[in-house]
Amino acid sequence: MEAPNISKATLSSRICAEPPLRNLEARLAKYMGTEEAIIYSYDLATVPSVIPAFANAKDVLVCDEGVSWAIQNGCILSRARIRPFKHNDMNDLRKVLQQEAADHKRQRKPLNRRFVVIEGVYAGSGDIAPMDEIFKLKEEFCYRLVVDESNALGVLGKRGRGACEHFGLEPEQVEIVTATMGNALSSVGGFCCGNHEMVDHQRLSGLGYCFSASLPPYLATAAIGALDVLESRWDPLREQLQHNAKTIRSMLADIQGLRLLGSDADALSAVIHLQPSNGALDAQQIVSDLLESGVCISCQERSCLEIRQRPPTIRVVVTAAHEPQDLQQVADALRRAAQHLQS
Amino acid sequence: MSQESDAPFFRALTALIAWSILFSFGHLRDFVRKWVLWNRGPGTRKGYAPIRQDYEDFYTRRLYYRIHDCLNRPIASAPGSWIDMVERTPPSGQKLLVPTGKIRRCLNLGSYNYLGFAAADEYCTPRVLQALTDHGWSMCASRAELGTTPKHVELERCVARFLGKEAAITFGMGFATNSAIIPLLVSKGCLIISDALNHASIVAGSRGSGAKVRVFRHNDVEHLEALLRDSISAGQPRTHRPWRKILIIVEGIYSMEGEIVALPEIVALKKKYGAYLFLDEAHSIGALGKTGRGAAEHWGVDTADVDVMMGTFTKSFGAAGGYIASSRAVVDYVRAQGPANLTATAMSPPIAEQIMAALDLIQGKDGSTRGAEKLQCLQDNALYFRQGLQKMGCAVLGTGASPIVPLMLYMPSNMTVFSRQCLKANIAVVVVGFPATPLLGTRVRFCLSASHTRQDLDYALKHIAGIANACLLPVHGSRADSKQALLKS
Repeated sequence: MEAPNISKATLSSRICAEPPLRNLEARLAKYMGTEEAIIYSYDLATVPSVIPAFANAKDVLVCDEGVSWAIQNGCILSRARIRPFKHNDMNDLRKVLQQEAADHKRQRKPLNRRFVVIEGVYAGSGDIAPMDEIFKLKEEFCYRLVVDESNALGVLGKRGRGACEHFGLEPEQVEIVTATMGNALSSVGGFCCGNHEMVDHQRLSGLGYCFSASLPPYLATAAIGALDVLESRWDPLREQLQHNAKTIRSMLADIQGLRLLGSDADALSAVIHLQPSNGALDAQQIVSDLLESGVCISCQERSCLEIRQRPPTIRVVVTAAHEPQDLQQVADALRRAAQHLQS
Repeated sequence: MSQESDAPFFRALTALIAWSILFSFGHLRDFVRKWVLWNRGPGTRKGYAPIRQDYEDFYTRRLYYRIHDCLNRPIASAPGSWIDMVERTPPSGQKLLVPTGKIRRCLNLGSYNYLGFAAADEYCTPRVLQALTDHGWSMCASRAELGTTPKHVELERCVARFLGKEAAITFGMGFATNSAIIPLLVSKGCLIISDALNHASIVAGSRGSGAKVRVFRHNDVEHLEALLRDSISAGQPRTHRPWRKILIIVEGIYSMEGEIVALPEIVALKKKYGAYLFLDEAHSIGALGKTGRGAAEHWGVDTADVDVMMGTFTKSFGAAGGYIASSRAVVDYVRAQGPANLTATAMSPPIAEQIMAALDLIQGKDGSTRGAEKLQCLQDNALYFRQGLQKMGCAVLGTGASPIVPLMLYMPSNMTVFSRQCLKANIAVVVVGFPATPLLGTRVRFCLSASHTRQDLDYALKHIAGIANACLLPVHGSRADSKQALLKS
């Protein structure tokens, strides 16, 4: 791999979308099955640039309560009307959409842009969004769908495209798909893909694109390398990863004092969150105890900026590279630590 | 400087006429398309509003696509003093520009490569490659989770020491440093007093914070004082309670104007009225001051008087990312609560190494005087180039030491002519027009670098003189040979 030049030291929108970046955009679009893709140099700036490019004070964002801070920030920056619905609760989503439609009709407002904003796999809780039902609802109420696939890309779907593919949706049926390149693509940055009009508009209106330096090219090359692997060796990787995810989830389901977030429907998600259900257990304490027994997992702290305050959780992430005995070791260590702290 | 009234009367008049012709022809063509040709553009699905708003759509179709060959230009090399530009097909309607496969070697006057660290460097590059071998390229985790390496810790210590602050924290992107950290510093019940020309990331951060924002005229210290007095005496809107916190946000060098902030006066004001000061040194760190320590050093202001120092590594250091340097309490708070620290992917370790290598070089820790020479060379180049343009009689913004030299073009059509002719003469420049600037503020922005040689600058000045004459930019000087100059270039 060549890495002589770290920076482009230029604005991406001015003279610096150079070949590795152009290549990566083309490759991402091909991989995701969309017309075009656009790269942002940081995952945290991706959604906060995409949403304000398409929504303003006249528009409506119906947003899951469990979305990450980046999406919350994007919603706030757009100044659009934000209507939250209960996390992964389709009845509540329907209720909110109906209410919004009724309000709109009563106030006789002109037709505005409406979006449902969700994550494919929620970073904060590790569960999968029921995309099939959400898609039906959004079609029924004429909403556009924004999905952040950060934790679903390279995890779910026949080709690894994420939650949309997992639920049998075609590319571009979901209007705006974003994801970070920092997870499955083992690089840095984020991207958004969709049809030509959707992406081209961001080249003029996406704040994080117009007003920031572009991604260092060597990181684009790294992401292209990861895409090569995903395209050529996805099937064995997927089998291994899904097997590992299912195994560890079943192992962690019955630890006393630690509640596994999500349900059986989320078995394929590679992100697992455990919430201490017993007051004696402190997530941070468990994580540092585990470190001593040679297992490194993390405690996810939440920022005070998040709209809905949530307690810290223990986060376990499995990869395709883990062996069965690794998973057993994690489960045993967690069980021991929980028992030890409760006694 | 950038106020619209500053444009000479004749220039303003012609520019306004040009803009109105552009807009009225655009609307006329839209009218014909809509009502005569009955073409309603790409239809949207029933029940959905068009994804682009009317005016955005109009701007894109009627203005942007006419000049989009001057923007988004792909380059095929590192942005050193000379770069390889990818040649593309000329614009035609809304068609995508396709690379022709040819490469054009151009003098680079557009990259923020102030100290020349963007291209391979004999001291920095080996260290970067070593870091790449040792630590890989991605942490695949956030800093707060499993993304902190010794490189990150060392980098933060280096930055804090360089700036003379207690502590520092770094992030993977400069834009996000502002947009994600300002909401942590101020919130509802606080007041942000912001310069009119502050960068989009500061605007995003202020908007996301929920604080009240008041804007003072660009670099106008009297207006700032008036706003401070007024805000303090009136208190919060409606309740008239005192503000919880007042934060003044300014930049070290303004990227579109090339102007240096009036720091000593602003520090005096912040002390007088008990406000906090947030200084964004995105363009000034490494580029200003005798040892590259930014606006504070340039003015001889003690960095202890600036409460929060923010900056980026993208420009002078040839890397990526941003930092916040402040008191230990503030940095610890940002570390514990900042979403950029808790959820975003950590900075790539080779980038951290590049920054440290550049910092070491600037401070002479490599044992040579190359760093000091670079700093001196940048100042000399900036001054030489600015004076060269001024001698031509062109309207140039900014102040002496600033490496950003904006040249006013006024007319929107000059933007394309200037950019295309420069490319023909093998000079890569960045042109900026409405809506990034005021309507009459169309300009070309030259960025000088320590890696430019005197020959490079003479070459640029020679060709720019011809093109500027052809665009009727100089206030005085001969215009007789303008046509010939244009043909020759």
